[in-house]
Amino acid sequence: MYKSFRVKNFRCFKDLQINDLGRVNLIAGKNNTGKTALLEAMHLLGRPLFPPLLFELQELRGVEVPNNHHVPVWRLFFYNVTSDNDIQVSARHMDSNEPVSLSIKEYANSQENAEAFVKHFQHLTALGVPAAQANGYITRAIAMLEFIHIDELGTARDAHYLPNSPVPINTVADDKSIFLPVGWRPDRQLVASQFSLADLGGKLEHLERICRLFEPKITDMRLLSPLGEPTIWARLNGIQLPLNLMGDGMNHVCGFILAMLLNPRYLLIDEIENGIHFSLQSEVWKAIGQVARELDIQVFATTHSLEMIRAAYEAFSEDGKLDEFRYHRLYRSRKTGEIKAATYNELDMEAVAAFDFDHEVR
Amino acid sequence: MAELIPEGKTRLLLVEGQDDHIFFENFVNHLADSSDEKLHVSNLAIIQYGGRTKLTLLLRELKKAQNFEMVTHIGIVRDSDFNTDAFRSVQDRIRTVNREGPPTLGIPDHPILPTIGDPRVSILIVPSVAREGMLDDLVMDALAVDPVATCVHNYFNCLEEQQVTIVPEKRSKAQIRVFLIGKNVGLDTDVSGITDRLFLSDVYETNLWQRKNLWESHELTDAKAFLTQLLAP
Repeated sequence: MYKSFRVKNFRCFKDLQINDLGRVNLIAGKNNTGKTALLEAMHLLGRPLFPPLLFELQELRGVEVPNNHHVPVWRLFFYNVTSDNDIQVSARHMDSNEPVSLSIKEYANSQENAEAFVKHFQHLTALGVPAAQANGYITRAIAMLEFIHIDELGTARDAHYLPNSPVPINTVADDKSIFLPVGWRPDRQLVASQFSLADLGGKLEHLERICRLFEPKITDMRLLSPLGEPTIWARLNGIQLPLNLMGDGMNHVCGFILAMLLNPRYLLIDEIENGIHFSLQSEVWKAIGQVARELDIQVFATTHSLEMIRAAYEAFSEDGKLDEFRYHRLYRSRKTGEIKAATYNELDMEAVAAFDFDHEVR
Repeated sequence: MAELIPEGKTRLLLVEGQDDHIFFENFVNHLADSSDEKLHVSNLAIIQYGGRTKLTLLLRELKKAQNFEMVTHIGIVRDSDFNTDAFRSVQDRIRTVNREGPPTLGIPDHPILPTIGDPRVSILIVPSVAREGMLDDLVMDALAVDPVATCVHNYFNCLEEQQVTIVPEKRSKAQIRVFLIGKNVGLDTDVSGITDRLFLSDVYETNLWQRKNLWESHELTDAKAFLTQLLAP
């Protein structure tokens, strides 16, 4: 679990430091204060040696990544859209003072950077790419990216990315986080496989408990494939219905829980309030808090909804777990224009609640 | 939902409740009209903290507020109340929120005098550090120039002699209301009735307050000094 997180020269962040992270973290702020970008930075650190993730993240934002345009697209990740300064993402764990970090540096294809390009050439040939072809990739590239990751033990590993060239094998995905972006809809096939894994692991009770918040008549849930494709079905007083027919909110929340049952270390949810009626929000938080606690997952979620913030406060207070909850508000400094974070801990949340959330908290 | 510190407000006056809010708002307006200096009245935000027990909570919330970094002055007003060291209590509350992390607020050593640094913090205890009571006592003091105030005091003294107990916490509030009745405030709208509620703020609307310009009375000197430094250029 992270206790602090820092991101430099990434998207809209020149240098953002967030301290005092909790088990469950809710992030809010006005538009264009970097809520999604913060989750992206966390996701990059959770999957630090997988350069194509940059393009996946860009596509989730609706930005097409055409071939031969990788450089302008990856520069969108750099602060002020210029790669003059490296991207740096780092975090400290609760039980350690040694940071884990990821730096992303762009090398222009010039004589002075020859060494980095030679290294990549060696990676490519080690992959089995013929030397002439590898040479071709390098000659055509105007720039390359270098990812350097330092893990908890202080071990440094690197990965390189060159437009249109194969991704070298040392860029193994090291999935520690799951990112659920805005507009995310549970993929039926993936959900079926997650459901099966949860079933095998004996963890289905978590899911059933959540679904009963939305539909108390549910007795149990199963994976069925009457039409060939496996789908989750719920039984309600003897009637069986596919989960897909039971409302967006329930499917959404089931998605969160199924993602958590895959045991990531970090779950990142963008705009968590989508599809959840305000009367159920508090219960949803309780469920997320409980599963996060049991499976040792740290949750980061963004929201625009004051009701969602209130609901989280209520849920964690009622459960006597307010110490596990943190609320972070991102804002632009009036003095410098840079984005900063104000973190509300247990005491601060009680302060805000004492004034009935009457003031700005979003 | 309002921003706790509205944009452009660099000076904060923290008061206990509605009565204090109206008193200080009127006082500030008077100062703006009468002062030779150009006071920063338009930069002032008056924020109610809803009673002494919530001061810590407000300070805690202020430190996290969006525009806190632009704040240059904070003035805290508290009733001296009864059987308590109000000034020390405010100091303790600032100390408490400082212990919880940055930004650190200055802790004044004396009433009225602001701390050095950014933001400058000052404390005003009403009616005064040396006297138990509340804002209503201060207002009654200022009203002493009016003969009706003498009648009111005599009446309450008489009650005391007759061993009719009025708890100290309610005494000055009751005096204000009796005073207002004596000035015919609240009696003129309906021949057969008296207005259900009379507010401290009704005092400032009376001819007496305006005619004698009681904002300039000797009893309000400390409050005036406190506000002047809070709004000083």
